[in-house]
Amino acid sequence: MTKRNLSLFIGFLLFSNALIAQVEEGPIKIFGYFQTTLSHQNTYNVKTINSFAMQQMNMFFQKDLAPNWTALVNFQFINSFSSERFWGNFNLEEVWVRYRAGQRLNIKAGLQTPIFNNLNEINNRTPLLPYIIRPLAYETSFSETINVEEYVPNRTFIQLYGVVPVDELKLDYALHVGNSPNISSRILDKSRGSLTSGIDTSISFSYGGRIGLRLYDMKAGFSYTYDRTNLFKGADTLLGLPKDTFSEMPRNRYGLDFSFHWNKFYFETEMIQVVYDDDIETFDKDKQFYYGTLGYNIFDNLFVFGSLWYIKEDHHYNFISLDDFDVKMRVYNAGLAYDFTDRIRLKVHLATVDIDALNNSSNSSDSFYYATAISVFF
Amino acid sequence: MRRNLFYILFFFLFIYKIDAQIAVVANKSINVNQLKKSQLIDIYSGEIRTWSSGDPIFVFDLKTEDETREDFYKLIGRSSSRMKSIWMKKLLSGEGEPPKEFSSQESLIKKIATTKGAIGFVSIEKVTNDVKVIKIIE
Repeated sequence: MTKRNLSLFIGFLLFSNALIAQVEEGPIKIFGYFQTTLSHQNTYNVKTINSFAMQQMNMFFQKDLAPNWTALVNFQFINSFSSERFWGNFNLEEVWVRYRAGQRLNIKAGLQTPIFNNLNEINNRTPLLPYIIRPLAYETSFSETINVEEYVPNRTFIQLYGVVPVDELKLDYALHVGNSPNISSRILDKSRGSLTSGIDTSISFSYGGRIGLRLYDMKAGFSYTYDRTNLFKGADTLLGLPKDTFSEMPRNRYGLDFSFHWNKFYFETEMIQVVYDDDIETFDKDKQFYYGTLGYNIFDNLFVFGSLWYIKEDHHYNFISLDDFDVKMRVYNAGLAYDFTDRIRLKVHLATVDIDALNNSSNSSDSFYYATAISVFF
Repeated sequence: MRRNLFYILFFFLFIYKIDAQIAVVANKSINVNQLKKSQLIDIYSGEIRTWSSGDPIFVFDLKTEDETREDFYKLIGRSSSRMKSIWMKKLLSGEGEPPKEFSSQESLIKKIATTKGAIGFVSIEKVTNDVKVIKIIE
């Protein structure tokens, strides 16, 4: 048998197997979206940038494996990803299998986004959001200024969730458990020795959940996560504290969310508080984040919004010459989303960003951001 | 004259809205005789996926261009755009797929008549004996 015949034969076998499997189990559904942007950014009146970018593309593969069993894989490409040119990133966002016992109980196992507040679950579903840049704690492109992974849990591995209806009222719940933030990284963790990258380097887990209420067009919820982080490991020696004071420091995230639709109006707000349970007076790294968005559907296919985002970060660590140091960021936003069709959306977003860094030498800076984007679902 | 014409048109539009009657129809195998509006919203937004018997619900819809569809969603208190965003969120979260859409009410009725557990809606004059009416909304 020639090589060509062999490859044709293997191809046929693979293809026919796939066909048979699909008939028995349901076809693989492939869908996705991308968002391409043109942005103008004026930072601190010093630097101006105009740029096109393929901001994000996600590809989903979903398959119903058996009645009540579904698997999903979600690949994400961001910032014009090219491995050849070292642009952007490629991420395996989700790989999970779900068993649906009914409306009241779903069990999902595998890499997934935990339910926390209102937006976390869909913060990477760009076509669903009217924003081009997401509210601060969710916007990975601000990661040089703020560590977004401190604010919201990004991934978990087992999740139970469901809805318990009581007349018109619906009680939502979600419970999740996953790795702690102490993941071995090929680049960041030089001392990992023989540890495989991508695995937890500690024995602690991350736990959390959300309880919520829905009544007609109103939704409210409380979220919480607990984990232990090595983020500040090493700061103990700078502060003259015993070694390992900051090892696996307990971290609590509290979240509140509220949203409602009224006629053509939509309002959404969230609060997140990050509290490090350190009991050390000279050290404080707690964080707060708030946002509120008011939107209005002028037509069925035209949505306008105004939004205010606010972040306050405490950076209190009395060592060397650096005294108490807070960062406050306020972002004022306005924008619109226009649907050409059910699958193609045009977005416009204007934002001004005020950053106040308060220490001995008070520092304040502003930047302006304008972007337009086309979001396509396919 | 133009102004009067506008008022007349507006009046007829208003009358039309009041007169719109939509029948929620289901396959005859379904052992349900009545549904509340809130249950309809839950079925059409994918919250409820099974009948009380445990059989799966197959939800059918009309194409966006169909006026009956627009009226149906308005009458149950959800705009088309809201429904679209609910389903887009479910689809992209792997939580479900939007209802299958039909280009005519006749083809929708035929499909419901032959699909066990199916539900849909048509304007009242399109109802045939092949399906069961479980609610009339107006």
